[in-house]
Amino acid sequence: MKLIEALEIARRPVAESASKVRAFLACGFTPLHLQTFITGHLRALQEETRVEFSVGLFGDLCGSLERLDPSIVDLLVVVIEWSDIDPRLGLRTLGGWRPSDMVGILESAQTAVARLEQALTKAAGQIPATVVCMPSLPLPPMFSTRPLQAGLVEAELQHTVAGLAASASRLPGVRMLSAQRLAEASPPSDRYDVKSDVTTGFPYTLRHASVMGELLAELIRNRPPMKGLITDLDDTLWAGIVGEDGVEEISWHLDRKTQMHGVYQQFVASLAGAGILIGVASKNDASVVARAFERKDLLLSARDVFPIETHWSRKSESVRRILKTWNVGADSVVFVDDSPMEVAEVKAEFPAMECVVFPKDDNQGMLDLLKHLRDVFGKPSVTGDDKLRLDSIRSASAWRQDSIKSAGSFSEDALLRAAEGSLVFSLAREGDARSFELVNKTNQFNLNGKRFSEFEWRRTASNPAAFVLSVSYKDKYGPLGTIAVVVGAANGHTVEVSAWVMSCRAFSRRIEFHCLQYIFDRFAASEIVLDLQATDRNGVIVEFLDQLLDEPAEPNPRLAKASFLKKAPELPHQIEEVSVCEQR
Amino acid sequence: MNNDDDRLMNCFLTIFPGTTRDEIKGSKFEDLPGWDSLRGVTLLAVLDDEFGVQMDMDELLELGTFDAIERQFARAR
Repeated sequence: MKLIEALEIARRPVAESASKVRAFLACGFTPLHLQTFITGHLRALQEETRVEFSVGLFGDLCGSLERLDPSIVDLLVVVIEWSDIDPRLGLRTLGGWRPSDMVGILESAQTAVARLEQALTKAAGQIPATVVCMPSLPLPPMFSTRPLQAGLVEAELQHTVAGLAASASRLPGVRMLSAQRLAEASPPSDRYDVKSDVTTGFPYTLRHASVMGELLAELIRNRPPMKGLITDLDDTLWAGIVGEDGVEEISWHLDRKTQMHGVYQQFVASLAGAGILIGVASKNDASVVARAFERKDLLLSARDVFPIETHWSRKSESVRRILKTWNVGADSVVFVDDSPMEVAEVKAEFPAMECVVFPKDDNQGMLDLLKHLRDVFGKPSVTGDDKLRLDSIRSASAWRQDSIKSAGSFSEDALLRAAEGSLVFSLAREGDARSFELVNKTNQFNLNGKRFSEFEWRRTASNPAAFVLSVSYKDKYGPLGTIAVVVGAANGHTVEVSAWVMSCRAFSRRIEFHCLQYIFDRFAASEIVLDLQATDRNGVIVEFLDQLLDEPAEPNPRLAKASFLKKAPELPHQIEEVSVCEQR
Repeated sequence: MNNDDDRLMNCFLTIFPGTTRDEIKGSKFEDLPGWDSLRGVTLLAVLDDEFGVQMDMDELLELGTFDAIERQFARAR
């Protein structure tokens, strides 16, 4: 993006209804065009967001962070340069570069890093989102070694700054810009504009400022990851055609020149470990595929994959069944197959799905594909629920099959009792990452379809009466993880619920009744006021409330405890644990 | 106005929002509404980015007006 474009985009009018983000750009140099580029790129990504930046004092990054009032900031952008670590590491301050000065520079760098770490820790605990860019400019020619030799002082400085990056990465809500990604997009030798630095205090070339602004804007936007990958097997997950070559002849190894298929396997396994759903769509004989998955040297376990669709029907049929099992939309899934024809067939059936031809004879192409997949599936952190996701879908599938088999033989009450379900209620002032994700992706059992920005979500705690209730469930089929979230506020004997979602995997287990029962009991409430808004997809919750309310559900219905108790069925699950904690 | 002149005018209109073409053509930079050193530095960066012309603030102020810059660019073409 050129500077003039960034200026034009940044100055476009924003709708009054646009959500406002109060941002603080903390840097020790004049923010000038970097601020313009971040704003321009953010507006280009999120047209309907109004980001209003304030900035700190020139030359005092640590002080700007220490003085920051976190209650008036939704987003903190921290851009650190070497001159913030010690002014002598920039060209605007003349403090001496004699070898005898180096010990003092190192000591002052360690002090500055400790201050920055402390200030970041304090800010990250109170500001919804923080993005950080570590020094991106070259160190000046100050060391006694030749530029090609990294001497002890340079190595110690790099080590000190790397320590800050590692400790800041552990902080909640902090996202660190990848130095590797920045170097790919902005070569280090083209970043520094010495004339601009010396004359205006802005040290970046326009190109570097634009790239950094673009990447920081991406990091701020924090795009939700795609949910599932559907992969082919032959000449994709492994090299060879298992039905023709045999289970022992398929390969993914250096000596067979098929190593990149092994790399793909370990990559897919890493996605599975991070909670990305992995399914298989393969035209094959199911028993042959099952034997292939028994090979001990396969890097992707059969447990990482569900479901495995192996038959001779169209691939799009397999994809349809997998989407139904996962209950996710085509637009959040990537399909990978080595056959351009199969890819075209699936794409024709699911235009919203990203369908990719696996570049089986092209090592660089495969590496590029993995980088792309990392970009679409990457997430800021992996939660406990991520690790449970596939097991949870398996459990829900097993439950559905048992329910169908036993229909007519057992009553619903008996079936639910036999499931040996238990619920864990966790009540907090502020919801965790999984609750945030569930609220923002659930459509069917969703009180009003309201979506939260990261900033709004972490600000729910600012109301002293507010609570976020997250509910996890397990039964004899296995754990489903966190399956329901209620956001509300307790005022006397009335509880106002502003958001309530439940995963469709948890339907038909009366968990919704348990949620209401818990709220009535926990808050000694006599009524619950629900911010119900009908959407085009939440018929299931409207119908549920219709059963409970004396009048048909309409906006903001009030549910009295007496009425609830009269109409609630037997509640079958054990309440295993109730944790009530204050977060952060 | 040729295409480059239009681009130049567009740079000024973007950096000094709310001003008209006539105001820009008829005024010294320092008299344009919103002029300050920050706008000056932004103008210099935009001229570099758009036209590859590098000037410092003293040169810009010496030229003084949009018309003078326009003439200088025409001579350089």
